[in-house]
Amino acid sequence: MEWDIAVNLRVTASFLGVSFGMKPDFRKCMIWLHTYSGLILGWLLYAIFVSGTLSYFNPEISQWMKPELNRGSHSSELVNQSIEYLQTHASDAERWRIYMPNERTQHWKVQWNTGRERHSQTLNIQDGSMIEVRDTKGGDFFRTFHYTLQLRGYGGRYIAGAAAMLMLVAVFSGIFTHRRFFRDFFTLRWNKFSKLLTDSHAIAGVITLPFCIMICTSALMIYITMYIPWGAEHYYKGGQRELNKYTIPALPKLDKNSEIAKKQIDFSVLQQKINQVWLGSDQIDTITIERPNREIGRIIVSRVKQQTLSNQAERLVFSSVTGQALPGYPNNSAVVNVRRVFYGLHEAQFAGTAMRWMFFILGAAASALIASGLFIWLNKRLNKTKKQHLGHLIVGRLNLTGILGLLLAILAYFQANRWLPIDIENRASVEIEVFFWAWLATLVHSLLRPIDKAWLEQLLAGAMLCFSLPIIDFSQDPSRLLGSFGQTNMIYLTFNVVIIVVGFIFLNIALKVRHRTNSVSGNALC
Amino acid sequence: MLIAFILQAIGLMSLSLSMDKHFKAIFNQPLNATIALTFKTIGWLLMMISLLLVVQMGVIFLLYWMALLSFGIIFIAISYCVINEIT
Repeated sequence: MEWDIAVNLRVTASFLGVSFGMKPDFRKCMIWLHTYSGLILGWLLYAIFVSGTLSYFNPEISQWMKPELNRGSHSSELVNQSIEYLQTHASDAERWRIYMPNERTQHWKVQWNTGRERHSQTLNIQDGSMIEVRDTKGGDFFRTFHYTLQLRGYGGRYIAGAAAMLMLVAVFSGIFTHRRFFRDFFTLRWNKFSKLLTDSHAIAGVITLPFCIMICTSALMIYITMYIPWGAEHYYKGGQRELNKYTIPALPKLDKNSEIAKKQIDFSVLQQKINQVWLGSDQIDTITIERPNREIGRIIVSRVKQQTLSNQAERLVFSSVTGQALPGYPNNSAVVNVRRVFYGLHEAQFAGTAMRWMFFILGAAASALIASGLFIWLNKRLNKTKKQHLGHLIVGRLNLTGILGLLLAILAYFQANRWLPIDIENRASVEIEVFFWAWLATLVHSLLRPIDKAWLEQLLAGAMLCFSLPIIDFSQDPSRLLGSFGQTNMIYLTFNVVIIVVGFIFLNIALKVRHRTNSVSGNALC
Repeated sequence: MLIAFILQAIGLMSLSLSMDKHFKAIFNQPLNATIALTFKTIGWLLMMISLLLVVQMGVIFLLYWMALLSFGIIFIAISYCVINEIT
């Protein structure tokens, strides 16, 4: 081990030597950089990539986690029904917003603001009646977790940004570290565990190279004014906030005390106008009505994002009294548009089902890339030395908790969604607490058990969690699953199928681990 | 669009065949320089043509092209793995 440190020191020295005009060994530097940027942030990056990958199916996961939602054919009457509902329940609100249901969300929601209070109500697609949906964050949890790490206000986004930057470093230095991958292109050897590890690491690296660069760059672009704030701070007194005020286009403010309107425009008139501009069916995503029932009121209609790479949807503005088209949002500057397109690329709202799955699989491959890298680090060192020391022990435990434990925690989150009583207080945050407690439990478990046993037990636990999930769902309310067969709700069915497939993968790996521990004594699995 | 992706797949295949290791796995004989060069040229040419076709179709298709490139590589890697296992 001392030898290892000595080498590291020498490499560090040569790395620093670049600036002194010494001749450093470039590749050694790159290997060192790749190894330690990967090791230090590997588990964090893995967690970010896994939860980020799940966010590609955010509405679908939310739909599964809110089984109260009804499916139905969306009629053109939905908007008028929503306005009717809002008129009876919130006629004096300052703003109404209608979230139109689509294939992915199946969620028809109206929202209104009075003063600082915000109310929302989910409506039944089939008959327009009110439905109570269980209190859950759904897929949004993964989405927020992957960039705030549940530490919003405590620098979570800075940590995630640093991780994205180091991922870029690891990706580029990886090209020099694994330079054999050009000779071994299209090669995968699965006879030997260590060969399989390096090969799959190299292949996953090659195929996700464009994806990783795109994801990490766009991730940095989303919060670019946070990560590089100096320009904004220099030119604007209020810093980023003021910069945003200048760059985000807004409509003129409406007068609060305008006169009450006698009648409002019927939305079907507007619908005809919209249909002429936005071709295709179901083009409306949300409708915002500002100052309803007032002379000055206006309607802002924003389009679904399937037609654009940008994350800024197209918007049309109308008067809510006369129905005339009002001047819309001012155009974005080119710089803002560039950021918007990066944002859109990151979120991939434009992607259809096939494209979405491609992104999902690439994200999973990138997670596998990080995980296999962490395995390689430990495997290489354990093969060299007979004696384990503390560092190996810690990395081994963290590999188990970080890689497998995270997946178990996600499954626990899904289980909690079904098990927790509907009417407890703060149900959504209790679900998230279950996620973190389950994750902690896997850490404790990995510390208490010998490493091979711990892997085996956690894999089996994961398989059990997977297989029991559809069964619990079915036993709680058979009509959900049967209904999704009847309505061919592919989203609900696919969720169950994917969970079962993941369960089989866990089981398969568990069998392999047991086989290895039986054939090789000692530390079989790094 | 389909044509572009078929061209891409064939291009990747012939690029992989221009490598000694994979040529041996399929034809069971060592690769000589001329054949390697032929495969390489054909491979790159087909990839270029498919890329040109895709660029004309629009940005979204370029994204598809990039994604399918990744899938093509992993597919070919796995099929060589299986071929080596059998022989």
